Amino acid sequence: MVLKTDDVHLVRAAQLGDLYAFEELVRRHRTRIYRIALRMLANSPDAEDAAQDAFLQCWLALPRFRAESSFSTWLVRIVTNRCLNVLRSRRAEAFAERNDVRAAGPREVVETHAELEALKAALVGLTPAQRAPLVLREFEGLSYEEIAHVLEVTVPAVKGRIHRARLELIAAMRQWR
Amino acid sequence: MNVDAGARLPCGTWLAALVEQVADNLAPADPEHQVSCSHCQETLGELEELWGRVRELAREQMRAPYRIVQAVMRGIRAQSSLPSLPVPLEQVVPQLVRHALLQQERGSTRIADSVLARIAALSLRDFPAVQPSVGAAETVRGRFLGGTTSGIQITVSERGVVVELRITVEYGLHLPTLVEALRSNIVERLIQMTGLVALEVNVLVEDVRLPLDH
Repeated sequence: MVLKTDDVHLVRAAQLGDLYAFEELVRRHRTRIYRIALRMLANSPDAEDAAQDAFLQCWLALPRFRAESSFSTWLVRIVTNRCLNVLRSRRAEAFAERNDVRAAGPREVVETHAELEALKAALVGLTPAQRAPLVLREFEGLSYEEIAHVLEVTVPAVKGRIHRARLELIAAMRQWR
Repeated sequence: MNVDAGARLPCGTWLAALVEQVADNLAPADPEHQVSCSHCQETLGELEELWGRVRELAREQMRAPYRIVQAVMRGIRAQSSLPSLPVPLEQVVPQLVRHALLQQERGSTRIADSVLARIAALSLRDFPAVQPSVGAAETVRGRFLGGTTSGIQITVSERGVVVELRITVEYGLHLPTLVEALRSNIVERLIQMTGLVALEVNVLVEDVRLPLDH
């Protein structure tokens, strides 16, 4: 049987300055945090940077973490905000990328995995405000309530954004059939 | 299929409702109508197919590179800057540096503990599956020593040299055999370079990691 220390205990130890405990937390959560960053930012070097920054920010803010939400949700919140900042700061380039994606034709996409590539391209085409809740919903399986908490918006607002994002994806994917 | 927000099918069903049904895996709001309505069925079929790609992407296996962990921990250690301690005494009075003393014919030779630790640390390089552990306390000490002797502590008493070692090992190896080989190697290196015989090499295996993690 594998006994795993609860996040709660690790967080408490890390708050007291135990770097081993924090390292274990980073190890445990890195894939999820990286995956969110990758789906948000759509390239792995940026995703790695964002994940690292998120964990560093998490370490700095740890003394103020009051365990009102789970550590995991708190981390998701940090990385999501981090990614939104990145997207905001590269809005100009993102805009250009978006136009490129729209201009590319189906034949330019490699045959294998073409559908998934098209989907990834469609994700890049979403506005950050739509992409964040969609990523958390479809790829991380968060509930609407959790997403509302992470993004600090109301549940109806989350539902509206996700719905519009889904329609955009569907419209984009239909072009590639 | 008209995918405008607020679009309705010819039968009057909201497209939004069908999208939500498929994407969130919900039961149909109006099952009796849906099962007999060709518009609903056609749209649902198309949505299922398209949304299948999203599900496929969601299932895509990925693993964050281990270097993220390393980079984070490096960053944290760099940030926890040294407190403004007064200059350590041993830097002012070199004789106070902890050391091993060798009385030789024409004078005494002192070998600083940090040198012994470094020799032990470098001998670990012969074992790619072994990494010395790095801890908060060692960070401070390790900085004075140049940062490469983390996880290694040297004690020199009248009886001789004792090496304390904390390591992380690759998963799957037979630990007693590995540690014994490590021990012999350290003892040999120390003799070879200093003539000192380590009385004990105490090893604490603190963690195991998958080879992938490195």
